[in-house]
Amino acid sequence: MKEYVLETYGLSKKGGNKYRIKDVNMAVPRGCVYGFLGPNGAGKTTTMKLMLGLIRPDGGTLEVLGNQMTVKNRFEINQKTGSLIESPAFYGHLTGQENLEIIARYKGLKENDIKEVLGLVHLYERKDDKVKNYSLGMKQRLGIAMALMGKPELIILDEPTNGLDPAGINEIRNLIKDIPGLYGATVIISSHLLAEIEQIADHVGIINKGQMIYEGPLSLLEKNNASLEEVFLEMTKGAEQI
Amino acid sequence: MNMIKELYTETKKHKRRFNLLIFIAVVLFEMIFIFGNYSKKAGAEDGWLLLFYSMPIMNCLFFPAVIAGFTSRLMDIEHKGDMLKCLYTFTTPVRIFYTKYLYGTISILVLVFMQCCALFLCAEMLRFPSSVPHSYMLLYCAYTFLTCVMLFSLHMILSYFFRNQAVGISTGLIGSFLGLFSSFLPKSLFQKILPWSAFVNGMFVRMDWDKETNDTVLFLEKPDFSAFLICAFWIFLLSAVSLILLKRAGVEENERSKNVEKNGKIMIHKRPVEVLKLKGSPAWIAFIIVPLISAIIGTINYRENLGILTEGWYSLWTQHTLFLCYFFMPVIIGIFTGCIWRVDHHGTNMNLLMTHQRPSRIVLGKFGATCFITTVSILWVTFLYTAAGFILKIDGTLPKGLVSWLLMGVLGAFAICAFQIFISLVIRNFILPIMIAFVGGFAGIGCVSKGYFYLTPFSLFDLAMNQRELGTADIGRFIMASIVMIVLFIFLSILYLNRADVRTHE
Repeated sequence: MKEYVLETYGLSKKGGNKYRIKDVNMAVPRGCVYGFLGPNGAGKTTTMKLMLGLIRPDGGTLEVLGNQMTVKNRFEINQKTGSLIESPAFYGHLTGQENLEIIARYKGLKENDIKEVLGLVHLYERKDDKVKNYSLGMKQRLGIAMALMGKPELIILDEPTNGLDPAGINEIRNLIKDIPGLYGATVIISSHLLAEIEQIADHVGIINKGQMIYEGPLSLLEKNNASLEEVFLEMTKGAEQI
Repeated sequence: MNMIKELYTETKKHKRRFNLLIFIAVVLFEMIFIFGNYSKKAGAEDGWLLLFYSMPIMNCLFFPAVIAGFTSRLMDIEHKGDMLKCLYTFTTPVRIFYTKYLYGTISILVLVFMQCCALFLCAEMLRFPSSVPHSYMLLYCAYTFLTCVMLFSLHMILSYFFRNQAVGISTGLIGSFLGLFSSFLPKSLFQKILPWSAFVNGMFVRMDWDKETNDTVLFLEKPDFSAFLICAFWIFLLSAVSLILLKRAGVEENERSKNVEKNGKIMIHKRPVEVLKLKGSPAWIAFIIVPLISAIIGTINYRENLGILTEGWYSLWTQHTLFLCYFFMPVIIGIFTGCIWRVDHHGTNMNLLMTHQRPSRIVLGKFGATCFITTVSILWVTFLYTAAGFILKIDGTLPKGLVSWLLMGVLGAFAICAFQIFISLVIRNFILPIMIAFVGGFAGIGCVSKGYFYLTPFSLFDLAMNQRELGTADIGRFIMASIVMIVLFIFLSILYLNRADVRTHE
């Protein structure tokens, strides 16, 4: 089994004439919680979309779960991943359970899988309500439930705690921390909340203005007793613009 | 002063929306039609009479759908971004509504002005010998404007209070269908008060048709000013209704859960995913309602014209399917494919879809659902046709070729389904693919009349549903052309999903 679940080599993506990300090299170790950090517009979501094959790179390659991501095998790779990108995707006119039913049908899962994830994100009581009537936090939890369906090997979460109240953030934080232990899955999580990443991640990658400026264990980054916030601010201040 | 500021803001909101393009397209289309049809009659004494006779009928067919599309674009920007929530915090629903109303009314004035200019241009190019009848032109423009404003008032209510814009669009299309059909019926109170037949009610040129010689004569009639009054009454009534509704308007509150069984057993249903996604959508209804209306009107028309329609079952078929199949079936398919893609184009749902399903299965799933409901609708048309024939006690047996017409019709309709699936995938706008289907229906008739049977999906369907043309067509080529188009558009859709970057939040 490969040491890394995801590796990118010189990954680049243009938006018009400008690069959104350029020459990004990443290596995500198996079984870890990988915190993907960067200021707004740094290229986090673009990179995550590339990881899922939702957009095609203009340069470089990436390997996910031991396979090079191509148009042809994108679906096979994504069957082993779970994701929440940009904001939760949902069909508002359907109930929470019906939304999960759609994922279950796509992934060939059973009723028990729906029940399990509803329990994990504490939505079981509201499973029969239409999603358009959910609060922002509930929609976010439904998005996480969708990502967890079918116990994927790799879970990619783009700012999953957006819109959650402090108790909700705490719940999700604990859940994400437990995922590697529960499922043996690797989690890549992006967030603006550095304190949150500090509590759950063991590896971090920092991207700024489309370029990776740091990647490695969190412990190494904090060896000088500085907080992640201090290190992050210091690093993103001096990054070269592409 | 405030109103002018708000109107300016409203204009700003529609920057890069190209709303007037819909109007330009319809005026151009009408003019091409007029020019194509009347160029041989140019120089005729009754050139202007021909124009004033044809334009209201064409307006009756096109304008309700165009105004529905335009109004839906005005409101869709607010619904899509949930902007009403924000707007209600610093202005009132009445002001929001009437600013849009004013913007729309000015746009309609531009539409009428463009049509008026186009008429002058047509007259010049066709070299009408008589001079411009200024008073009649003014009358025509005033009445067209009033009728458009009446329909716009109705659609503003529908588009404002229903987030789902398919409601307004479907009403517009059914309206144009009713308006057009009612114009072929004898004058009645129903025709007079029906908003969509108002274009025809205000006509001051009539046609006299000699059944023996088949000659037609156009003549001027005293304008019917009661039609103006009825339009004004509708505008007044709709304004009153909108004011009452706006007084109660607020941001939609979360629906209380209905009596759903909570904590019940979780079961995965057997229905296809694409069917589940359209749960509760009104998109299905049009496939049942429009053929029903068409059958009722077709049956009445057949009964009223037994003197001309002498071929029994064959004549009844033409009356049942004429407009439904030529104009409305493509549009209904367009609305359905629009709805079936809209659920996935919403928010970030394309991310979800593309990470869980193969492009080929996505496209085939949506194509399958569209084909299924289209087939059901064609069978429903047949059932209504047969039932009407038996009720009218038409002599003889059902036409021998009925089964083959239907099979060909279903195959031709599948070609339209594949085309519309592709169009609605690529064009994320809800209205434009429907308008393409609407225009496609006409293009199909044009192709069939010129003998280009196999050129477009629409002409294939028209050919199949018209038993006379089908009789002269090469069935082998028809089947081959249909299959090629189905495969081509399915392939293009899969290719697009495979190659294009996933777009969200548009």
